[in-house]
Amino acid sequence: MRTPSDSTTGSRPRTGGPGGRDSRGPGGGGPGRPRSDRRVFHRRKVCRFCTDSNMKMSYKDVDTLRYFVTERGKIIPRRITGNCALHQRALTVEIKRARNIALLPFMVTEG
Amino acid sequence: MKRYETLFIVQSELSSEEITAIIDRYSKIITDMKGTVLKVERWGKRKLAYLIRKQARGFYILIDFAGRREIVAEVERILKFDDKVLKYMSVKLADSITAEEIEKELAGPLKSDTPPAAIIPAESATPITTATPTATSEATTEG
Repeated sequence: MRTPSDSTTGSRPRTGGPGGRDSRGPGGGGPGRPRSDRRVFHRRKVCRFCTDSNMKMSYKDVDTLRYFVTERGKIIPRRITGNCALHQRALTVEIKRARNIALLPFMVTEG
Repeated sequence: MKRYETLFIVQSELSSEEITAIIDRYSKIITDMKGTVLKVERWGKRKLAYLIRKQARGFYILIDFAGRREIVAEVERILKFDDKVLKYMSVKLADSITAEEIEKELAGPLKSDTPPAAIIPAESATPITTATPTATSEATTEG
């Protein structure tokens, strides 16, 4: 039943007649779906390097860098840490320097 | 004049005399080429994050110096041939350093053999507090 009506409405605009959409009534039911109650919680993330001016970034300061690296040794993206773009860029450089001189691992395989 | 620092790892079994000899050797290369050694730090034995030449430990040495670019090339050339050196890395700290700044650096803790508080070798038991900014990390951002 639905298919013939759909095909007729589909062909109608092509021939030029306006108002092809009104025949959807029986099938569609309308977009009356209730909005989901789940509220997305946004914790305001701020760049730790911007807020704390004492916090210095250096490849020599491994303990600070470890905070921004996963247990596997991957650099944590800034959408998770909340770093600003400027500091994240500087941070990746320092992490990679630390990796080069064996202060941080390139990857951790055990476990 | 630019400011550089070279961090390199030597074999952990070396005696302190041998390490002093290594430091003197590289300091001499720098001073011979009209550079100035600003700071030498012995970080001590640390566990390496990954094996280098099948070694899990190494002795870290940091040399902070001012000079021309050729010094870095020469130091790295020698480091490359040095069998005792596992790995090295040079970083430019500042594009230019004036004579006054060099004087100021030298007037400070001259050639301190002990690393700043935050950089304590992994061997030592004392916990490391990140709250205290280190002298070196300040120096990195000075330039």
